Amino acid sequence: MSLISLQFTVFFLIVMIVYFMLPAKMQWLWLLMAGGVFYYFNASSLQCIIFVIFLILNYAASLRITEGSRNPSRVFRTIILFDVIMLMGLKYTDFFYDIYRWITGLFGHGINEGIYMKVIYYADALCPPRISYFSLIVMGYLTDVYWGRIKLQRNPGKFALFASYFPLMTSGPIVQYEQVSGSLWDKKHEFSYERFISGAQRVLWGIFKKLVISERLAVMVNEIYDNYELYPGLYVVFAAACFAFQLYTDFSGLMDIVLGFSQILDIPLPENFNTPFYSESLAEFWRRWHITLGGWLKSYVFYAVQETETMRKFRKFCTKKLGRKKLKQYNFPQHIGLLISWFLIGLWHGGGGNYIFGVGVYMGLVIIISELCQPMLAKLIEALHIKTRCFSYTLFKRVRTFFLFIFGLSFFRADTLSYGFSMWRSAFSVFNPWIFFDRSLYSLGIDESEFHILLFSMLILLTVSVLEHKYNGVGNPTEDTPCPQMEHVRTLIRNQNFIFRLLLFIVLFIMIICWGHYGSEFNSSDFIYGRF
Amino acid sequence: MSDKLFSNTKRINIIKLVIVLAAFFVTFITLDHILLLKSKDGISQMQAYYKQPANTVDALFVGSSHIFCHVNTGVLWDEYGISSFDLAAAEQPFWNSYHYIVEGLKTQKPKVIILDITTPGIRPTDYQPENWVITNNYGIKRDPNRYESIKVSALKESFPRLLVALNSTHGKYKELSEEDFMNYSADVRFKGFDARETVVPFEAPDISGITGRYELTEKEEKYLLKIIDYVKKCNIPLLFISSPYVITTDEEQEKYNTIFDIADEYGVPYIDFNRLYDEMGIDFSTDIAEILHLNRSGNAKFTSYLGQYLASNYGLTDHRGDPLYSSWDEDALYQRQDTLRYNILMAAAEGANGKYLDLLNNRNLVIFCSVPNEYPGPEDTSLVQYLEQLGLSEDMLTGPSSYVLSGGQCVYSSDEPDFKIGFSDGNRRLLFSKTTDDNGNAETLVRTNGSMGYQCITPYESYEMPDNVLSFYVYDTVLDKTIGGYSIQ
Repeated sequence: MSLISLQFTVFFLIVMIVYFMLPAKMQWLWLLMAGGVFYYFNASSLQCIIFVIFLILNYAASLRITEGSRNPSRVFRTIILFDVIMLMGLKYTDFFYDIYRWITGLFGHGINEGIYMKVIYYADALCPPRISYFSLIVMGYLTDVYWGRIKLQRNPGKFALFASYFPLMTSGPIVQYEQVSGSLWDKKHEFSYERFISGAQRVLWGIFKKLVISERLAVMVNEIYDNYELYPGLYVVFAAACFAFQLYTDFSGLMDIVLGFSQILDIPLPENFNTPFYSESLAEFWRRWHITLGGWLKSYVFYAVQETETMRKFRKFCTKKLGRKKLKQYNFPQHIGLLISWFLIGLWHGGGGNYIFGVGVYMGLVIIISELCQPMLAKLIEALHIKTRCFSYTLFKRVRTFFLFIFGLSFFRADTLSYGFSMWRSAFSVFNPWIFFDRSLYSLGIDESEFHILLFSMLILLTVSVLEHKYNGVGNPTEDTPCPQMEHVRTLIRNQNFIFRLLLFIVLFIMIICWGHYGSEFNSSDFIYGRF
Repeated sequence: MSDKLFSNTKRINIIKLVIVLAAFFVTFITLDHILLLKSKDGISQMQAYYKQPANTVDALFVGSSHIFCHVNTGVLWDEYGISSFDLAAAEQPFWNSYHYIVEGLKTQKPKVIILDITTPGIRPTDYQPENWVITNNYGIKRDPNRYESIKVSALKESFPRLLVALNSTHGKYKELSEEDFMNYSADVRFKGFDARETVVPFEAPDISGITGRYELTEKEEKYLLKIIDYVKKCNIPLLFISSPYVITTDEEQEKYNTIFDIADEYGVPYIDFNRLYDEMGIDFSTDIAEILHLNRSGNAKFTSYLGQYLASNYGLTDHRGDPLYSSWDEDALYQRQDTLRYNILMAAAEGANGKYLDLLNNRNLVIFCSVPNEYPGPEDTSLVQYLEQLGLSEDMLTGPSSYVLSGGQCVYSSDEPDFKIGFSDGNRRLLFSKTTDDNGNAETLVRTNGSMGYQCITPYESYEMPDNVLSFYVYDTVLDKTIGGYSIQ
């Protein structure tokens, strides 16, 4: 059941109407039931059973960690190991099998391809959908319980609701317990006209991004990526840039839909994007892109790695060898933690060298190198008398960040790591700037009128993002408004006259209906981040 | 006070919510209506059917394109006064025919229902390609019957998507035209008939030796029996027909034989027209449009024969002259004019000048004629009499001059080769203009003032105007379309 479908619309309306009619004590139970139904429609019976077993084991472990076990540390490690093995074993089977194949190949042995195919098939059949999201959510919860950051949730139903709240069972955001527990079951949720309209508007906006922009960009991106031998030189750069916007509108559009639906139900969820293309460095970019994944890794991996015994010893060793000042400057222990986190981000995106390199190690290395080069760069700027407090320098940094980002991201779209490198070799083989002037871009699967629709839609997107950026820093994030600048844009709209607002969204609705890429010719219900 | 204020705010919010939901609903329905395919392969037929006055359709034809391409409702009216309707869609399977009959009987009480049974022979499948699912279903009003019809037509995985028409039709925004907003074809005058016009000679198939039986699929048989049962319950006579076309495989006829066995079993009369070519006078060298369909000449013969059968077996009233049935008069006139248009084009293609001019002698045509400078008169002097019939006497054939002829009279003349005139044909005002460039190429434009004000019927149509020829450009006021240019030496 895709979020953009008639079935989901009907499902959500039923859930919403009944939800607001129920007393507070029943509302969370109803959401739990809805989550079960939603998951059942998206998974096979076997996958549902595995999901339930996963929840039961994790719930039992959470009880054992806090009470009843003489060695909670062992219970915690065991359950985390189980969750990781389950995630890796079912989700990244082909990746590990490929490594195994490579190792056996080194010793001159082959593998039985028949068994390989069977293993992949069964792993796929058993792997519960959205495992990459709910397993992280639950592991984060267990870690918080183990560290004593939060109180144990004794009610198994509430624990299950936290892990399976249905808007999250699409593509996140990867929430932490404290971010949602307050609203999932701790209060009576009343229907609010303003919240309904605001949420519905956000859903529409997300659908617009996905169906009108992302799907159009996908046509051109697919054409170039699938036939890159035919499209060398600047076509590759163009495709990489288009893919960045495709992924952004796809994923942030999906987040708008998820957060909009959840807002209608009076359960605010954390934002996952914050105008990332305004970032002035790659590190900042990743603080604004897929925020909850970065936050999760920071909270549960990066700090955890830093606090391990080995890292402590390593830090001591570095201090001894380099001295405190140099350690602060080069900070190797922190960089190791950072690289591990980035490796995991790459791995999370998919079991393949292209993911691990493109959206993992490469990004980590660029961030580390730019940190290491910072003092040198500062000296250079000073020596050349470059003004840094002006628009042109900010623009330069944004453009630089954008190109650093799209280089890595282009591997995400490529089938393999070598495929990605071949593309970039082809990018530098020809210099063909005329493609931007001789109508060549109209032959990439969308015609001139479609291209104009795309430009116009992106202009709307740009206008909204300019407004969002304008309000950046205005107001502090709270539980109800985790992204105040976005809230400001919506307040700006909310402050207009009723008729104007209505017309605005009717026009948006018409644009989606007419310009949206959906129906039999398109696979619009497929979100890129829905695969994880 | 605060309670009152709260309740007022709440009330206002409820009103706002209702307005928002209504606005979105209206927008959705309007877009659905505008972007819907205006197709005479089924959708326009159903939409026009809803506009027929209640209980006026006496003979309801249901089935595939063999109905809407073969049963000329104008001929049935002109020859027998039968008020009929072709409620059919392309390659319609029995399950859609069933739902068409259910829909059809909501507003009409026909004296006979005629079911075309050829789809199982031509398209033996339980699930049609999506384009046919669309044309067979999207004309039906949104109600449980439409829901059921789409459900039975679509594969399980496609059903939710096909349920919302916009999923299939929204791409039409690129080619929207006046027709999409006004939907002229779904008019009370349209009785579903849509002729094919090509002429492709074939050898007449010989099916006399095909006596075997080929099983219907379970789904086909189920819905055939449902149709028989439903129509019987409604107490309306049912007739099965297999209309003439070029049968190429034994299995096709064997399926029809199986259906006729079922008809025998349930007491439903049937006619196998593929065994009656001689009786109808169908000539496969001139009456076939393509392998599946009759052309204008063929459908006139077929309909005439069928009409005779219906008139004598079902006691159908001759409604000609009854004002309630005036739309059938208009449909018949439209069909006559459409046939005339076809014949004019054929005569022009053959270069049969006399026949061409003779056919132009029709009161519903407006003719532009340009006479070049120092025109010596037609080479074939026998044409003079035809020109006079049109209102163009011999002394008018000195150029340069331009004439507008209508109803056998010259209604406008000018000494200039180019003109722009306003003209009324009784129902509406027409605006014609003609311009000639330095190379002697003429361009003609016709505009009418329809309900939306002046509207362009033709874009500027360009045609060559050689020296020393009489040039003609014809506009049909009934069809509301031009019939193109022609020149005579």
